[in-house]
Amino acid sequence: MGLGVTDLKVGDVVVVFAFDKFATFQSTSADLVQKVEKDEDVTKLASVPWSFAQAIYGLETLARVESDETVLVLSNTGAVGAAALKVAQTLSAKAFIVADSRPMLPRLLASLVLLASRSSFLPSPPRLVTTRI
Amino acid sequence: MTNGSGFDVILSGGYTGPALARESWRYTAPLGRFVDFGRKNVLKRAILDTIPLHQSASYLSYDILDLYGHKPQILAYLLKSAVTLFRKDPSVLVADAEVYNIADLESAVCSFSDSVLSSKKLIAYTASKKTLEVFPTAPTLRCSPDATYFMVGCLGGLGRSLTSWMTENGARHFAFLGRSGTDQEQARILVEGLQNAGIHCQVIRGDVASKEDVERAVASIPKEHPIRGVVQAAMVLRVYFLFYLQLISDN
Repeated sequence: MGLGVTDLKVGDVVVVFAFDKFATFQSTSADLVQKVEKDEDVTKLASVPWSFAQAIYGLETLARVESDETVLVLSNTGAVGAAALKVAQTLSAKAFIVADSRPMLPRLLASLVLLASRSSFLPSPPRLVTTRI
Repeated sequence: MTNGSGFDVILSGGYTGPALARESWRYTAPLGRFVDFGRKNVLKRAILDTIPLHQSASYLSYDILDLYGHKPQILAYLLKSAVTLFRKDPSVLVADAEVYNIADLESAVCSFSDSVLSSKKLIAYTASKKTLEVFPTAPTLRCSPDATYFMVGCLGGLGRSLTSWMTENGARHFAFLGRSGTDQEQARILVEGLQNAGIHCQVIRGDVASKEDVERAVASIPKEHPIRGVVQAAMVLRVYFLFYLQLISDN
């Protein structure tokens, strides 16, 4: 641990950004470290940074989403897309998502939950299947 | 849905189909923002139809690895925000993560999906009875500082890159065998450059096709710096029309 790092100690459980190739020992800046508290589930917390950091940067920092704006998340955006729906909601935006297919809709609604107020179909091309959540 | 005015913000990723991305970009509302994350393939992703730009729409692209490399302070803020968001409302995580032992890295990678519904894959560095197959690190060249490296030809551009690579890796003695020695200016510059860098160079005039010349050259190598490596890079390049080639080989 570097000199001047005061808020961490050896043995702390942490989540960090360190882009290495599966090395057993990795080093990174103390700024890119967040401590996991004793009562927290490290597995859950570890799955947060990658997707949510990207979603927050895209919607909050770059797009500056305002309340009541419409946000559309395209398909094949993976965990970042799922996180973006949540981030859009916390920013009080109206979030939509493109489903790849009609059969995917129920699963999308079930998994991404929430206020499934309507789903609608735009004409082709390409067929945009969107669900308001 | 948007009363025909398009979406204010659209989020697209590196694996989103180009047709969908392109068409959605056209659905961007006036003053809208199209945000595109992930690695870009510059050859593939020509989605920038200019029509939305006339309505003040913006195309914004980013890659988290660039943030890590160039603006780590932003990434630090994002990490903090992400963790804070999760602590405020743990339900933002829609799927439980799947944890794989590091020994099952391969199946973890295979299970990866771009679907929004896919669960996050985590790799656990815990003890396991399984072994993980890894590629060995590519061997790196180590030249001995006490040995002579016998360079046949190597007094041109190829020699320049070879000798600098070999000296970076420890070589301190070179013996060059070439028909024109250091007559060529390029050869002279190469040898002088090496000598100025403290590298010992011996230039022997001779033809590698002559056994006598080669024996004489090898005999001239000092005993205390024996030959440990030979690079054969002698060649003659001549440009001919194809129909002359038969004549040349006949001669």
